[in-house]
Amino acid sequence: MEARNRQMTLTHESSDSTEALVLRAREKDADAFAELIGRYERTALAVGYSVLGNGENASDVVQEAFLRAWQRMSELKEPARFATWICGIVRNLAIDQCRRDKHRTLAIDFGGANALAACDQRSSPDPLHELSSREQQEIIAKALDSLDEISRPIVVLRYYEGLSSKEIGQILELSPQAVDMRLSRARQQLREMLAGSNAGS
Amino acid sequence: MAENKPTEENDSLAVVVREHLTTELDRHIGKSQDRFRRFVQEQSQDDRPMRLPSNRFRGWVFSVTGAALAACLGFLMVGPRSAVPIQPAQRPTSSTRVDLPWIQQTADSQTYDGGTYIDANGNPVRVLHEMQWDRTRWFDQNQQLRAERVVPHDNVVYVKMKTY
Repeated sequence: MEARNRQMTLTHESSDSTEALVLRAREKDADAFAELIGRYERTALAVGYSVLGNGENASDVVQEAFLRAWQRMSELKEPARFATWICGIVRNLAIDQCRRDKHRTLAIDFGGANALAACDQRSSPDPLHELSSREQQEIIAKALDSLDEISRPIVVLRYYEGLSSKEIGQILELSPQAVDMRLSRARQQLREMLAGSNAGS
Repeated sequence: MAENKPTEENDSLAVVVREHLTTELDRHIGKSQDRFRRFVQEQSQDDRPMRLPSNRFRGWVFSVTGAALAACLGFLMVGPRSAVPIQPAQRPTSSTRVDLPWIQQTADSQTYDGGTYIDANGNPVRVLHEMQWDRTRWFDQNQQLRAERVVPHDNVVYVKMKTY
């Protein structure tokens, strides 16, 4: 998996280089900060998406978050916690964006799960494999949106970034056990939403 | 790190969710770096020392500044002689006619670009608004009389533009 192959810098063995980049960025070294962006943009996008549920909006928020981080590098007390820090900025900006965006709805359209039923009627061994069209993508987006505020970023960080529970816990400031528990429940909820609706129909 | 890695990462749910997230987010990767680079570039440009106006406006700025400077210098030259306050009783009324030697004439002008227009024949023309103030000052040392006349002019000049 691509995300899995990427070297994570949240771990202790590579945090030194992150620290070094942060220290250079504090001295207004733009190249060092650009390197940090390259490392953590995916994670930041995942966090932004988990709040906003929209890739475009998440991208806008992440871009703004990195600019703010650049201007406030001196406020980062622990360079090794850059990931947690930037994800916190992203999350706060995304929440602000949510508040401004009155049109965003968190309601789930369960009727959209009919696509799953259609998949199943084609006798696919696993209807989830059939979810590829844009409409079906929207169903998944809504299913993700139905998760609670803590479980959603856990799922997104796990499946988009391929992060371990420990790494997710570092970013979201949760214990690995709490991450595992939340993830297990979220997976169950997603399965019920995506596949369970099929049984109901 | 390995102890908490997901064991379910390749199941159907994971595949579907991962595919969705990849579709949704991968196309935005790199945008933050691009924006940051632009931001830094713009900042460095803002930090540069103030530059002279572009060639288009440089001539106007210098001519207006020069006229203003000349007027100031001329006024300073006669200023000390006219420093004595004029008493109200000595001021000429509208019905009083006095012949005073003029001491100073200045012309201040300001020209600004009014934009490009298409004239009635369909030709593009550049419109230049030229505002000019002709000032003439008189002063009588003996009677301590001072007078000033300002005549404004507002000219509009149409400059035909080349077409290619």
